[in-house]
Amino acid sequence: MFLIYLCFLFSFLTSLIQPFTIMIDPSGDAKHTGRVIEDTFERGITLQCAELLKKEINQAFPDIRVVLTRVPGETIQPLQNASFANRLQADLYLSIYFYPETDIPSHISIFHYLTNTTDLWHQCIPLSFYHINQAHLININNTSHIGSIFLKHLQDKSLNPFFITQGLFAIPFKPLLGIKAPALTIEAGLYKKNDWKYLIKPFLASIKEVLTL
Amino acid sequence: MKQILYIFLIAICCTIGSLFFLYQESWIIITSPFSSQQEESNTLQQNTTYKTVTLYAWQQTKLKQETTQVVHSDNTAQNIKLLLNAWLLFLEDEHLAEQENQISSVALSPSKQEAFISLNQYPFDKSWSTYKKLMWTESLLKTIKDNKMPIQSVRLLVHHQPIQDDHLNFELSWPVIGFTSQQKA
Repeated sequence: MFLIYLCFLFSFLTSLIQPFTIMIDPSGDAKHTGRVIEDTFERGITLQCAELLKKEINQAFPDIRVVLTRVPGETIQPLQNASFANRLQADLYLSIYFYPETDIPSHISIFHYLTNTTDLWHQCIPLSFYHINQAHLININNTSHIGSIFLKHLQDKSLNPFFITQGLFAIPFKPLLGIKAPALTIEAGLYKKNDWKYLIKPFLASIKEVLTL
Repeated sequence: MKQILYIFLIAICCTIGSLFFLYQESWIIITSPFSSQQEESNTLQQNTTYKTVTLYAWQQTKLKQETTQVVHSDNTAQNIKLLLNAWLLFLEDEHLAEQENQISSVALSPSKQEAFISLNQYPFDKSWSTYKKLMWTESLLKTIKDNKMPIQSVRLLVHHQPIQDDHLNFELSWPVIGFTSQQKA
């Protein structure tokens, strides 16, 4: 009994000491190239974006821990990222996707995981088991709130003048299945392969506001 | 003599048990020879009429629609198949689909609340955004819902297997009310 108590105390204390952790998932891997954008693949551009975003976050907020889900050449197994994020007890999971845009202006959408519209009414029950298909329910309200913060900054024309925001959608978005932390996917259309650089500013502004929660 | 009887009884019980297990797991299907004749006669008695339906298609933030006539009968699965084939033709006419898709078959769940819709091929282009794929699916759901098909959810399949997409999870049942009705910015 004393040992169990000590384990609970230890996990509680480590959760207090642990810095705010953001996990960034650049889409694709060594096997999955993703969509073709100009003369390159989606996986390369998302990795470039994730690396620059990590650098910028570390500069702006040195106390934050930023983790990338993959390195070049790595192959990701299904649910590997979810398992990684849950074990690391990430506070925010950000997934980045790009697709080729045939015309300007480019568009951008935000997604979070939902299997049924009634999921939004869920109240978290502490000390209960959640199936992997229901892991998103633990932080559903927080996820929705953080999503609206990102939406607000992406809609702000002074921060993001080049992309039209299509909205925040709660849908069965497969790559976010099983993640306990608030998890968002941002998918942007790129007319030119380097257009993603314009997104770093609104991302940083959103993260700054998320840290105040 | 008693031993032979016991062995015989055990063998019979094992056979009956195995058959029951196979039936329960749906590995064998037992149907009455009279039921198929009844179904055929029911099919002949169906009332077949023309019904005006509205087809919907999201293009970015605009909702396009068109009214057309399709054959309507008492068979819900057949009605959904004809409606969605008309909808797929509408998408082609509007240049919202880059390949010729067709509905191969539609089956209803035993409760008649869920439709299993099987397409002849993967309906999306590889370069499509998740938003475009979502809007395609939402248009399909809206077409089913607004034409008052008596179902609650659909499962989209290709060749009778769930659609394998990198982004959207089609292994789940999608409610006909859709996900985006109250979410768009």
